[in-house]
Amino acid sequence: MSLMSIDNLRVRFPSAAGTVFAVNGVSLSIEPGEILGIVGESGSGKSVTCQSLMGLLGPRARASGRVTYDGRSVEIGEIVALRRAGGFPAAMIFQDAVAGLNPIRTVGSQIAEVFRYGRGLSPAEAGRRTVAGLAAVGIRDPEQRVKAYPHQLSGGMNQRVTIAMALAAEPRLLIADEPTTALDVTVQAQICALLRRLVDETGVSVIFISHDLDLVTEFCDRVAVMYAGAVAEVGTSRQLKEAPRHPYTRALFAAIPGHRPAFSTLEEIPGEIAIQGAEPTACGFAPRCARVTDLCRREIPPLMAEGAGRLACFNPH
Amino acid sequence: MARTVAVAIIRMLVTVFLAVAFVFIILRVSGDPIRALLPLDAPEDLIEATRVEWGLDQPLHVQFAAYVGHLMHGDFGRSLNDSRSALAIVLEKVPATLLLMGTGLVVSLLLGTTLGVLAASHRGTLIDRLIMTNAVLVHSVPSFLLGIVLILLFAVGLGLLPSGGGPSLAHLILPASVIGLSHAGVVARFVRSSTLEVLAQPYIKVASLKPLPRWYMIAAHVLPGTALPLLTLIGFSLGAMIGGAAIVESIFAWPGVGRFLVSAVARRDVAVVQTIVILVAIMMAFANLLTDFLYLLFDPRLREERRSA
Repeated sequence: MSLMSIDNLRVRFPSAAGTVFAVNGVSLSIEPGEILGIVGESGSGKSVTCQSLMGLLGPRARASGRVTYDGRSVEIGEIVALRRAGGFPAAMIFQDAVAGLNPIRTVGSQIAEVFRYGRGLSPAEAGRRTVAGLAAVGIRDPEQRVKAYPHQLSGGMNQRVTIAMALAAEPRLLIADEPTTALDVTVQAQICALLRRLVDETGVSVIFISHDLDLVTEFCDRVAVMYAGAVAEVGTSRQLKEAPRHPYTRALFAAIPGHRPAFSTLEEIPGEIAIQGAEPTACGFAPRCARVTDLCRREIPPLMAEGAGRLACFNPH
Repeated sequence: MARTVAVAIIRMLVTVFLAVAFVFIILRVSGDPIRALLPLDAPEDLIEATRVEWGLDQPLHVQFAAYVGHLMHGDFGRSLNDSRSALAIVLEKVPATLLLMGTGLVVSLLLGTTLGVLAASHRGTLIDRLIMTNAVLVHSVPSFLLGIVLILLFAVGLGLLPSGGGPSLAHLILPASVIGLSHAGVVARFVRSSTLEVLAQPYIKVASLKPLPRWYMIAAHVLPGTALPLLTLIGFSLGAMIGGAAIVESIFAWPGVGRFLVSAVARRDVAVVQTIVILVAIMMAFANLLTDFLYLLFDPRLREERRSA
C-alpha cells in the first residue's frame, strides 16, 4: 500500500491581474522507503504541489484535492491540521539551507528544540539526540558543531544540518525541494548519497524535486515528469531513461549535453512554458510539441497506466 | 575592541563639548541672569555689583574658557539660586527621574511589543487596524494634553490617584503612564513592521514546519529578530524621553531633573542648566555605547566581524 497519495490536486492563485492555474489535476503516490523524483521546468507546478502538502501556499491560493496518508483521506485544506495533530508526519528541506536557519541561533539549538519542545524530551536527552542526529547526517565533530552558527558552516554542511533538523521530528515523508541546486557537484553527490543512506536506514520516503533530469533519473527510484501543472509521465528511473514515451520527456533528455552523439547540435525545446491564465482545456505541451495532433489541442490527455508507469499523451513515442 | 571603546569615548567627549558650548551661548545671549535673579526694582549699582561678583561682566569667550577650565577640574559651578554646588543639587533629583523614565520605558516596551506582535500576526484584520490606529493616536496626542486628561479623569473625577507630587508609587502611576503610553505607540508601530519583516524570512517558514508550540516559536524565533532593530529605537528615543520628561514632570510636579531643568532655564541658572545638559549628553552617549554592545551580544555575525577586525 502507498504511504501517501495525492488525488486530483488543483491549485490556482487568483489576483487582480488574473488567475494563475498553477496545478491542474495532479495525482501522485509514493511508497514507503521510496525516493520519488519530480522533475520539470520552472513553472511546471512541482514546487507548488509539494508546498500545498506542507500548507505553505499562503492565504491567496485556492487549492482542492484529496490526500490519503496511512489509509486516512483528507481534503488538502485540512492537511496542516492533520500534520499538527501528528497524523501526517512530513518534513521539508529547501534549496537555500542557510536562509532556512535562524542566523542568530546555533545550529544545535535549532535541532534540539524539536526534541525538547516538539517531542517533550529533557534538555540533556535533547542534547544527546542532537549530537547523534548531526553524526547521522555525516557531520564530523558533532559535539563541536552543535555550537556553530549557520554562517560558520559551508552550504553543504548547512544542508546536512537542515536534514538532521527535519529528521528530528521522525517524519515518514521528507520533501526535498531542490536541496542540491545551490551546491557544488561533488557536494550534490554527497547529499544525494546521504539521502539514499537515510532512506535505507530509517525507511523514510523522500520526494525529491529537481529540474535536473539527469540527476533525478540517476538517483531516484521513480520519477514523475511535470509540465504546465500536470503530470506528463511517471515511471521508474530506468524506464524513463531507456524508453521515454512522452514527447516532453524525450525533448528534456535531448536537451542534456551528455545524451547526444558527439559533436551533434544540442536540441532545445522551441518556445517557452506558458503561464496558465485559464482553466486548461488541452494538453499543456501542445504548443511546443513536435508530435501534436488535433486531439491534443482539443482535449486534456488523461494520465493512464502504461506498462509499469503512467503516461498522459495522445500520441506517444 | 580597545579601539572601539576609545573611539566611542572620544565621540562622547566631542558631543558633550558641543552641547555645553551650544547651551552656554544660547543661555547668555537670550537673557540676563542677574535681572532674572534680583527683584524688578533692584538698583542699578546692585545689579552691576552682583554681575561683577559672579564674573558675568567678563566677555563671553573669557567666561566660557573659565567655565570649561572649571569643568576640567570637576567643578560644575554653583547654582545662582542658592549658591550650592550645581552638581549636588542636580544629582539629588536624578533618582526620581530615573525611576519615572525607567518605569515609562518598561511600560512602553511591554505594551508596545505585545501590541506590535499581535498586530503583525493579525495583519490586515480588524485587530491590526485597531491597534495601529490607537498607536498613532496616543503618539500624536501631546503629552501635556494626555497628562491633563488623565489628571481630570483619575485625580479630579474619580479621585483614585494624586494629581501631582511624589515621589511615591501612587504618584508614579499617572506620569509613568503618560510616558509609557505615548512611547508605546512608536514601539508598537516599529515592532509591527520589524515583526512582519522577520515573519517573511525563510527561516521562519522552516521553523513553522517543525512541531513547535506557538509561544515558543514567537519567543525563540520571532522576537529575537525583532529585538535587534528595537534596540536602535530605544537608543534614539531615550533622548526624546528625556525631553518629554521635562514636560511630564512639570505637569505632575514630579520632583525630578526635568522639572528642575525647566525652572532653572527660566531663572537663567546657567550652572544648573549646564550640569543637566552634560549629564544628559553623557547618558545619551552611554546609551548609544550600550546599544552597540547589546548588538554584539545578540548577533553572532557581528561578534565575529569585530573579533577578526
